[in-house]
Amino acid sequence: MRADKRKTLSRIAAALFIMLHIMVYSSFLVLGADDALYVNSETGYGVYIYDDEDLLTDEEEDELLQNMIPLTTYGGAAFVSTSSQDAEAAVRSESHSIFNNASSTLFLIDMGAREIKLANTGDVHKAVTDNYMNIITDNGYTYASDGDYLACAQSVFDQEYSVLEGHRIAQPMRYLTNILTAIVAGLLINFIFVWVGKGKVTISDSELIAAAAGAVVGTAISKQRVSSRKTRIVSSSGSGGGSGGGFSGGGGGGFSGGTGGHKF
Amino acid sequence: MFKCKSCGGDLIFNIEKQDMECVFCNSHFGVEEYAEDRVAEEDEVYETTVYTCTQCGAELTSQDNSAVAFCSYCGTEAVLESRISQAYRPSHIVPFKKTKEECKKIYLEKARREPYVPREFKDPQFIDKFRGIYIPYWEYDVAFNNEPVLTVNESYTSGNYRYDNVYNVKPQLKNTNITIPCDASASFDDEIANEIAPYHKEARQDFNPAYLAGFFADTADVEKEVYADEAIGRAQDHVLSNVTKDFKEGARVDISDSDKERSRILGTECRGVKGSLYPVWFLTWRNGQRLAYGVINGETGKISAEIPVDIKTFMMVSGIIALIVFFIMTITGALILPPTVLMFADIAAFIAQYFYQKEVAAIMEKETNRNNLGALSAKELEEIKKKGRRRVKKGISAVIIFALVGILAFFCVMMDTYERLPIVTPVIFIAGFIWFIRTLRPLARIKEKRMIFGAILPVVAEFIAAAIGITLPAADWIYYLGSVVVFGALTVTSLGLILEYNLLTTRSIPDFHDRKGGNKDAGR
Repeated sequence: MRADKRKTLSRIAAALFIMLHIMVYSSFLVLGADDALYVNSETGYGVYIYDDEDLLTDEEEDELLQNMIPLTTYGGAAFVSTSSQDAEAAVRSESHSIFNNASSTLFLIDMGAREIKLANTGDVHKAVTDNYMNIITDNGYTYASDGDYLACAQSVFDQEYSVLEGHRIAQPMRYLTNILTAIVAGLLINFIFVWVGKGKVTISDSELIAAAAGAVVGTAISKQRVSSRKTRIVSSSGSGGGSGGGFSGGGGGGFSGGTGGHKF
Repeated sequence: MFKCKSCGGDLIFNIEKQDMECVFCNSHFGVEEYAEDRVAEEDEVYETTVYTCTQCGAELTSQDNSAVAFCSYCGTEAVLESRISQAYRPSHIVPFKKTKEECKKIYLEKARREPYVPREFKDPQFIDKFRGIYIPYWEYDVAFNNEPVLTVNESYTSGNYRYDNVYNVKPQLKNTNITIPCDASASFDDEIANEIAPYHKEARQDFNPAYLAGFFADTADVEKEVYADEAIGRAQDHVLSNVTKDFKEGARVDISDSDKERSRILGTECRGVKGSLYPVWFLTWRNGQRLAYGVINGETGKISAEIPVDIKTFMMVSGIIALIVFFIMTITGALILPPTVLMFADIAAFIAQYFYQKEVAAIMEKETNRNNLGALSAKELEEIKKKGRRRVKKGISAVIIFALVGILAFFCVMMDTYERLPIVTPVIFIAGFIWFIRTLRPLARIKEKRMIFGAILPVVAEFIAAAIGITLPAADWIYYLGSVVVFGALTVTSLGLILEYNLLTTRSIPDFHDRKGGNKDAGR
């Protein structure tokens, strides 16, 4: 009896062990673990560096890796350098192909569009929102302008980690522009309120004359239609009709996170 | 002065009872008991005391010989020069129907509804200064002698179809006539007259000087000929709008815009002009060299009130709105990126410029009396006669302009501003520059030359924004610097907007000294 129990328990333990392995292995498959330079053993999230434009030396890549590792507590992290004319499309495409919308952050330097871009998905995007991404890239773009791409990427990942940890990041010009915007909005909104409120109540000349004359003069006593034309209105929208089927399906979902960026 | 038949005391016209009341024994008498025995039917005059303001030259008449404490037109508190004179006897009079107490309530209600009213405007002592004045009007008797067949074009859509119909219409016109009233006092602004109109035919009585007891009357110093063409034109407009009454909205008579040509077709002529006196309650506020009038129709209670804005309160409320906007932006984490800030500032600059142009044009109209024919010089009247009557043109509605700006702003915020900036900023600059050119003409005609700054700053700001927008620099500080410059210019213009608004809601002191009638400053 006791031996049966032991057998059963050992079978359950073996099954759980196999299931755990399958889960971890499958998560690596989704995250493209093959290319991961580092995988967080607790979360399974990895770090990826695809420096196609050779912006970083090997030493610099190692250094950047150290900055990216802490982010794997919250999601995958990737650095990509590329050369395209559409940084927005590139960052979405790269994020989707590497992380498939799993919680992640991807920092892209587009040398073709001269733009840095950040794309976040999942839990990372919940914390590092579009506004934060814009602030982060705003704070880091000057390094890219100076050609210091390592410092640029480090600045971006460090700020992201800071936000994920619940700390505040520097938003130097935000308050100034918000104050200026608020002052101008206050003055203009208030003025428009005054301007609209001043409306004069004047009656039409016809009403005025009718009151003074005490009678309506000039109404038609006879009218005869001499010509009439009826034209069908051709609507420019909504009447296109069906245009036959088309390819649907395939392609799967797309990037479902947020992006932010800055030219440099 | 009319004397009480019981005690010999002074009588005044009692508005509530519409009769004559003795100020001493409160006896009441019918107005008809004080009708004069008239001999001649035409060119009659009646005796009255004329008060002339030594400061502005305006004249008021009264049946009362007691001293007048202040001038209603310029607000001067001084004893006015008085003399016994003969005044033109009008044919009709519309007696006061609204009492002073009713008029004070109407004014107070209006003042309460206006935003940021200076405290003084609600002060009972100030409001008590309302004075009852009869304003002279010329009533033009415009007759129609033809019975023409007119062509009416009617276009409308129903369902998926558009209908274009043409009709031959015969209006009932022959042997009909219309009375067109026009204000006959150079001192009384036509704009105010239009605002407090109408006076009803049913309220009209045969003139009897007894109705004037206790009130003042303005003098008819505008020649009858001044409004003759205007009256004929307005009568024709009235008839033509009645012709299309039974048609779909937007139907119009196919007829020349020229009043002369219309007169030929309709057989219009002015058969005569009669004088009438219409009642108004008049209040004057004076602050330095600026005046504000509060005028109420003495028959209907319709009001025209010039009420400036209290700058301190306005700035305080603007500050509160700014705080709320800032608070919302901070709480929601709304972040405006440098190019978006520039875009926002640029659009706001254009909005401010739009209003500034509107204000400048309105101030020009007011300061030069463009809408007050009675106050213009003979030369200016001749020019207007040559050009023909001005018709109100329907411009692009402010609602449409703001809807377009709103859509533009929406796209600017929602879309990638780096892509929109090179398109939007130059478009705004070009539009702003055209708008600025439009502002130059009225600007040249008004006294306040400082207004050029408020007009030119938005264009400079729009130019800077366009330069940045086209070059699209990478460095944020350029956008921020540009935004600060645009915001700075915008703040000056926005402050100017409210200061000039007070110019618009007040008026300069008139000068009627140089000639009979017309304001010397007219048509500057």
